[in-house]
Amino acid sequence: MSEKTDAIKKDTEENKKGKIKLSRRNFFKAAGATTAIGAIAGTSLVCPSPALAAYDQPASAGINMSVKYLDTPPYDLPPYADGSKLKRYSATRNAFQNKDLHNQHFGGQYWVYPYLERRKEKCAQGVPGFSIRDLAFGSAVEKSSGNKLLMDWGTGYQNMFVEAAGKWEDTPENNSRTVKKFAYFAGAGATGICEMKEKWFYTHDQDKEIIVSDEFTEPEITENEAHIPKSMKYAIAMVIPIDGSVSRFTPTRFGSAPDNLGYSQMSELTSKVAEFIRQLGYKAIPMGNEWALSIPIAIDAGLGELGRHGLLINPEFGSNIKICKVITDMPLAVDKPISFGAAEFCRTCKKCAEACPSKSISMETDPSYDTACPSNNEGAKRWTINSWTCLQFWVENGGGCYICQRNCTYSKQQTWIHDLVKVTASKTNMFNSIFAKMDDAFGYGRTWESFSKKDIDAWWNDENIRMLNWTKNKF
Amino acid sequence: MALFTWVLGFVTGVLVFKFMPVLKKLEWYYLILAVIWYLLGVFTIAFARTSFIEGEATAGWMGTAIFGGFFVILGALIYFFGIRETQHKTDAGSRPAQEVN
Repeated sequence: MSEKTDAIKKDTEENKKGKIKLSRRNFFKAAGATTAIGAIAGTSLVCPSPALAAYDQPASAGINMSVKYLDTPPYDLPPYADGSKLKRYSATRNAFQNKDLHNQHFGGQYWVYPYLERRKEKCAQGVPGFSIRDLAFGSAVEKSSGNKLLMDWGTGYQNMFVEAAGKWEDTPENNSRTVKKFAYFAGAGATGICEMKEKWFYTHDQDKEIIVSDEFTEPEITENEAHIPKSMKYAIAMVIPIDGSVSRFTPTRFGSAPDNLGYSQMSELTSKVAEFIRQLGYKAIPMGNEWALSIPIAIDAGLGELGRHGLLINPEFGSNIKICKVITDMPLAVDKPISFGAAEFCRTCKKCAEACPSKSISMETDPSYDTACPSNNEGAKRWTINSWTCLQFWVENGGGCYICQRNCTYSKQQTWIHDLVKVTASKTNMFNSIFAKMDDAFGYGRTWESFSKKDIDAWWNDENIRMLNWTKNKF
Repeated sequence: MALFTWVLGFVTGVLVFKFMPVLKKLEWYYLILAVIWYLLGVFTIAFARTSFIEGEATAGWMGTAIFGGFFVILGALIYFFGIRETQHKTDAGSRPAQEVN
């Protein structure tokens, strides 16, 4: 007893002198306690919540904190303005279908022909990213894109089980939950639902006139027309994230592969969601980029904001996404549009415009009503995109270009670092300029300006054949 | 992740026990700086680790250089103006009167 008291006295005296003697017992006590403290601190700092997406559920604490729900879609709010002046747009005006562009710049040929010709030349010249393997990669992943069997409208669809037992009946809220649950199960990165505004349907697409009317009882594609019943008033918008580890090699054919895979996934996902809804006893039309404008639908459905580059910026995946939608008459509860400061961030960032090889993206600080090419739809205040020069670059390059979407400051893997920036940018625009400069200085999102065949070979020959999901890496 | 957390906790424990006698005697503002210094260190390590896992090596090195630089500078300030000064005062105070004279 007295020995123990002496030892304590001695310890106290030494402590007073600024020395320390740590007994084994105290050491383990301390190690246990501090490990627990470190675990709590470390976990909250380094480990994000699992990505669930849909902003009625937290994708991560950071994303959840940055999202603000709106009653008005963000394209109607500053820096943009009243989007109601927009008229229905004909898809035949867009660069990919525009006959004037094809006549003036591609010798009257459909753009794909000179595009493929250029690709063939680059392949023969041995340009990195255009080897036979890269071309096969870029094309094979696109196999299901626009597949007519998948994108079937379900005209005359019959289901013997629904005929026997009746359609699935539930509240709109539960129906929305059911459909979203299915969409996530089938591979959606984020899903939102909105009421479909008629003006978002194209007036024409390819050789078809799109007619939305009460007269139609079911969706149907005829020789010259596409009939959409007015009762199909809901849109389920879905976002498919793109693998950024490969898209950093854009604008090569190799670097296009993630986006091309996205086009396949759009067909596969929408066809599954549409089939699910049909088997519940309702009508559903799967849509990729065709038939209606995807971006405003996704904005209405609360999946993001419109960016400087004319693309959707999603709070979770940034611009590294593909958007698809399903139109249905199933009673659904709609989501609110969201804002997280992205459009405001675009005012100062300009990273996409600076990186654009054809300088097709506006460098103006504020959006305007100006148009940059005949393909622009008049009446919208936004940063204009010259889609003509953009497509001309595609053709000169012989491979799709996704530099603007890959370079976007919001196109990042989900980590606490980027969440921290997103949260801050959503609350104040004071640091936007610093964040944009830091993004550059830190080398984030930079596409490889010059790379060799060796760099691409390194991806193919990586020992880690079973790739991690780029967007859902664990940190 | 588990190993990282364990090492972080262990290093924290060692630091706290090693400097506890000095920390007790530090002025309150040096204590606040010491807490900031510690958090900056954790931030630097976490930033670098996350960036390298993310495949953003440039960001990892830049983060290490910038935040690590602040960490070193702040640590040096706390050590020279806080800890060493306090130790000198303590040593001077604990010497017998004749030694001081």
